[in-house]
Amino acid sequence: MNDLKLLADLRSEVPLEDGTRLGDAVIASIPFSERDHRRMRGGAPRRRVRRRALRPLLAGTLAAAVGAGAFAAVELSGAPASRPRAEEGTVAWSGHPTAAWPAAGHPSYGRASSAAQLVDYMTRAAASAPGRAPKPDEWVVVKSESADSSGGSGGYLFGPPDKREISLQWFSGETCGPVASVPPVPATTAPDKTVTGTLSIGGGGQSRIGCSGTTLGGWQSVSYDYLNSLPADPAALEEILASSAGPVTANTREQAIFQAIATLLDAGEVQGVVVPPKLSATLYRVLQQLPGVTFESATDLAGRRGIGFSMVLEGYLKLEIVIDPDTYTYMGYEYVAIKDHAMTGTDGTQYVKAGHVMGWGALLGSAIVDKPGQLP
Amino acid sequence: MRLQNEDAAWLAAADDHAGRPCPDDDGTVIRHSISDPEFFAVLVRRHAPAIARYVTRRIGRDAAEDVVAETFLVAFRQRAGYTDEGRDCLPWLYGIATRLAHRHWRTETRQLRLLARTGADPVTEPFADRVDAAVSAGAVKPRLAEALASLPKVQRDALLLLVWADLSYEQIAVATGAPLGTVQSRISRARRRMRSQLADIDPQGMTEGDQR
Repeated sequence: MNDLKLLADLRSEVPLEDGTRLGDAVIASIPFSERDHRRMRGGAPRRRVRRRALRPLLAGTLAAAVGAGAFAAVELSGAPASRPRAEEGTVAWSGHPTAAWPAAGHPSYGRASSAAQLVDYMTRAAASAPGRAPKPDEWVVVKSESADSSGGSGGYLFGPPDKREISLQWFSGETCGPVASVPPVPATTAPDKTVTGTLSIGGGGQSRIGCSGTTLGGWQSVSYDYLNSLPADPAALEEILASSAGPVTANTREQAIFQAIATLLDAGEVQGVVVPPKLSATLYRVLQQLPGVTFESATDLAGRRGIGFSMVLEGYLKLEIVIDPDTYTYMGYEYVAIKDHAMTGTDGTQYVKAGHVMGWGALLGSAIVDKPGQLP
Repeated sequence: MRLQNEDAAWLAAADDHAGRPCPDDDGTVIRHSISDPEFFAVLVRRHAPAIARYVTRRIGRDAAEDVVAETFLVAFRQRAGYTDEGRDCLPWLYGIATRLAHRHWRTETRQLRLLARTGADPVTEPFADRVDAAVSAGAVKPRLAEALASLPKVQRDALLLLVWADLSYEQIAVATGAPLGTVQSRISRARRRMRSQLADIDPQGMTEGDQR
């Protein structure tokens, strides 16, 4: 008897299951119809399919996700009308999408120049300003910038990150409530340029992260109450993150934890998830001590300087998340190939060179406002 | 998507999803499923049992459930990129399943080490009523498990795709995205390690490997 035969017999008592029963269960989790596809956007439909694709793909689905649903005209303007609950629909909107927002009033203890300082300052800031969840009749407005490429994209940017857009979205404070957005504008739009367009208010619900069984990779829930209930002890938080299924590319416990944190900060916050300051402090503490994480001063594609935490994934891909050293809040992420790499898939082999920016996005601002369409 | 003539003819002759005969060729099924997504169910029913058995043998029944479901979900989403016109898309599916099972890499290794240490296998426990096959010889299973547990990821993948998924070297190359030569050397190294683990049990037999 040879080694292969012995190995072939190992665990051979595991049976070949009945195809019909097994097939039915699997088929039930596949989104065959368009309706199912919409349900899938922004997250997986149920616990067992919680993974998501590379972050750059996700950014691309945001506009589509909020655009879903039937619209009916309601009366609203750049200074939105007062009404108890925004109805689904489209209304005229005008404003300055790229203008800087007034300082959010985050407590500051100085400019952090090391991971330890960041942890220290954020911990103190969280104690003095604990943060809060938006009330059901309030909205979280999120201003974000994302990169696409003139060379095309599909899971990652095939060419240079030269098509940059700024998006404004409003997420109702109501659990799984509606989402509103205006069409993205080029990042080169002058801050004082008044943009006139349409504000679309759609039924969030199905497409919002954390609703209708959707999850965010590595997180059981993204509700404010849940996030606020997580332990302040970094080791305990690591355990919770490691036990939730991480993104599919995470091959180690550390990578799963790092990606879960990155996912909450970029995909989560950009989609209206409010991260309690206390949790941010713990997350930074985890990043500070997580094996494989590199800390460095970073400059993002928008030219802003920040504190970068990065980890190399799959041997060639560096994921960096950048934190604002003054407000201690999340600024953005970047995926960069750190060495030449050939990606072989069923659709052929694609090559990336070292230094190639594979994905990039920035959170430019997030605030609680009274109405959709309103800016701070 | 515009169907090729023979596909259109085949579809025209078909009655409905439930009753119509299916083409044998996986590539054709996948092509149809691009314009008619529910057709993908044919592939699920055809291949889910094999994928489930392979994944279960690697990471246990509980963890396998999610991985199998997600394997087909990933395949469904990527089906437009499937270009292999061959009859059998199993290597593609095994490749997806193998990558997804890596999420449970630590569990897989822990279970193997438990088997190596105690002789009890948590993976086969739920199927305890079934008769174990030829590896009943007490000393062999723990040794095999120890050898598997000590293998690097790429070697374990290649070896188990060969033996448990019954793929050829060429199919393993498709499944793992590695060049054929790399697959050969991975399997060769993995087997060398296995043989050294088993050497004192059956030194004669170990050196006469089945050169598939």
